[in-house]
Amino acid sequence: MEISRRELFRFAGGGASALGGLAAAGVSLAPAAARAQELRIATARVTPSVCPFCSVGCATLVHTVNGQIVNIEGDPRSPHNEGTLCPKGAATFQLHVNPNRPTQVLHRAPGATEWEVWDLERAMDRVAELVKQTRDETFIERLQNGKLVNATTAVFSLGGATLDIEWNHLQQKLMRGLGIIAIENQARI
Amino acid sequence: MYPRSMEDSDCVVIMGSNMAENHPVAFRWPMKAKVEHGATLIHVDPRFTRTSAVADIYAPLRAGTDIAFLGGIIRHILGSERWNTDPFFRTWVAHYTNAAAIVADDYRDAEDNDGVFSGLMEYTGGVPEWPYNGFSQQYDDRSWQYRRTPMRDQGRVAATAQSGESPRTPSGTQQPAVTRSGPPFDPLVRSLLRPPPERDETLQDPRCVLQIVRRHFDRYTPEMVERVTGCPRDVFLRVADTILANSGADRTTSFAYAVAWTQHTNGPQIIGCCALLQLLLGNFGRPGAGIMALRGHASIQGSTDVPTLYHSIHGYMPHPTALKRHETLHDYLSSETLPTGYWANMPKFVVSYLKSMYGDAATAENDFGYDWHPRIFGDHSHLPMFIAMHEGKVRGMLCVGQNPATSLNAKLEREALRRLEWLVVKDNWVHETAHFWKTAPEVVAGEVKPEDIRTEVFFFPAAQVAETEGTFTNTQRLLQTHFKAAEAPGDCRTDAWFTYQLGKRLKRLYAESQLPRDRGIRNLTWEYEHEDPKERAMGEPSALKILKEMNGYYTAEPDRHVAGFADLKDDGSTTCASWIYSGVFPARERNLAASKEPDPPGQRGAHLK
Repeated sequence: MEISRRELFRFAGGGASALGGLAAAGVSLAPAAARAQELRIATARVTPSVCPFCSVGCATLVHTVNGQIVNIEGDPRSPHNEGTLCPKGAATFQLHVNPNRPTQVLHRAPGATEWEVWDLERAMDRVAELVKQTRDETFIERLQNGKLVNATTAVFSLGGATLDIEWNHLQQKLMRGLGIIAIENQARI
Repeated sequence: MYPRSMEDSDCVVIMGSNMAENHPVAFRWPMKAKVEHGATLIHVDPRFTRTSAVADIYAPLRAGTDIAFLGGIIRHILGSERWNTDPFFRTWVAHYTNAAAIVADDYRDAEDNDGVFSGLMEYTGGVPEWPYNGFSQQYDDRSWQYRRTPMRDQGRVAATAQSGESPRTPSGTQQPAVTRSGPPFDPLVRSLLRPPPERDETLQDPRCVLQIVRRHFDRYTPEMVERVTGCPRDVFLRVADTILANSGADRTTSFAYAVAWTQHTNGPQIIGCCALLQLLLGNFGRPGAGIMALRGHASIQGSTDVPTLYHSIHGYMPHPTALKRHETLHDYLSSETLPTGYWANMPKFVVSYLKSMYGDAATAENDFGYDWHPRIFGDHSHLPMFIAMHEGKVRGMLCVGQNPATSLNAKLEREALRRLEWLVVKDNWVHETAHFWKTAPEVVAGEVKPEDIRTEVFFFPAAQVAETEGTFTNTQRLLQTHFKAAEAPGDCRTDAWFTYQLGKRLKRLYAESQLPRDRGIRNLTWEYEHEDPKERAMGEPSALKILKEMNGYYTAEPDRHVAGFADLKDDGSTTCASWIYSGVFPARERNLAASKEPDPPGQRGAHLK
């Protein structure tokens, strides 16, 4: 296919979309694209993963170099997406490598106006203490009508729907083990 | 439905979803059907979206009028010449649906009962401890049953006697004389069996299901559909005719929907209406047929199957409740077991579930710890919980991967959060719920001072998907493992880590308690130590051990996994949290969710073998 200089600019329409324009025009970029990909992930380890956004279940491949994630892309082996991803799925990388990502445990005391950074273990101990205290103080063995319930409604567990089934299992098991019955999930709404 | 099988549809109806934008990767399959196989794509939606833009027919309708639209299609099809003459439809509904079954005489349709079906219950208000009951206007389905031929099977009476129960009274109501516990529970299940429904194979009896459906949908005339939905009559009729023309022995039509059906107050009725339509057309269980529920999140199906939902325990078994006859395990099984179909095995699922909760402490003598398991006593779902919180009745909240401060009735929910004693947020980001005490509009506007908010708030940063080993269940209930590629930074931890570590602490705090109310937590099995020493040192639980508990194993030989739910027993010899996931991990080295085998060319779905 022959493309004049004028046509090239028309296809390109600007720096960012130049490659897309060329590809749309039927120009094969395969060797160049493969070369670029090779450079980026040449020494990378590949780990299979799954997109965490919608429910289609697109498989992804996570590339890491020295334990650092450098790239996430669609897994061509998957029958769902055959290597493709939507714009949101293609941005999964930014969930992981992001300067705005919080990495510390924060605590806000009653009435405080600011967060305070807490040690993880200290925070976990305090949460366990609060769960126990609230449960013990509000536990109902029997309703007024005599029915056995062994439950409390004073603690509410609310979960998201992008969490692993392993978390769902542990969370519902621990809550029901304690008698915490108000367990809810994004799946309801 | 498997999204990819939409590729085989001759017609795809997308209703209540903007699939092109919100499920773009799955949308390539209906597009492939259209572009490569000439299928007709129909979009029914109040908005003209990118899905409408590529559809062959765009049918606008007023938001919330989906039932009128679907009801109109049902009426149009039932009245069409083709449906009444093509032997395919007749054979299908007679053999694969309940169209021929006769409904008992006490059932009354809305038309004959002042606009409501028979059995509408009065709102009773619930128990004093929990006056939040979302179940107003619920139907009692006792008048909706089939007419049944009186029981003749004497052997069944003998089996019933063996289980220690009285046989059913002639009216069909159950009168258990002794609430003896099993196992085995087979006699109990047999005692619940009722005679088969009477049938009219000619489908002409006015009390047969098909005739009741005909009468019920008779009011949905094209004029009525146009008036209610606002969809022009010719467009609506084109949709109905296209669906009918693309259904039959050699053609199939599929439907896709998303939250624009489910988030209506009558969402289940809309979906039920669609299921009825697809059943009438034979569009089930065949290539390119069915209803595609486009769920919105990576594992929203998983959190329904593995229910972090108050009303059910694993695999859609109802949560034991104080509002029904659930006093003993025997009572629970008598009330909830469906004696026909695979649900007849429910006693095996329940006992195996209780074993997964309480391990060795759960024995036949103590009803497998059934009394340690809590009971619900009202509607404990999201909205009633926030109303109760607003009234100061909820003191603590664990919020993992959710941001209610910006969602439903957000101002009320933020007011409710201010009344909590403590709030734990575990998330990727410090979002509006985590700092509701600081950045809520009411606080920014000066209406509420942070100093006056007494809630103690914690924020735990989360590990991301590629930093966690775990499993998602996608929209078609395919379980897929994602592996850990990198360490999470700083104090970011997996969600499973958080719950596991919280549980370990609580187990320690209750270890010495002798109180009867603490037996449940004391006996709760909680051992998921990671196989890998480095992960173990971090406190990360083993995803494989958790999956194994869901899959199930032989109690006496924990290394021997059950191969599937057919292996489960009701005597405690199998331990299985989630019967519906039983089979995902059938042997120690065989985690099927982790399979990354691609389909061989031309053999779609073969990797699922």
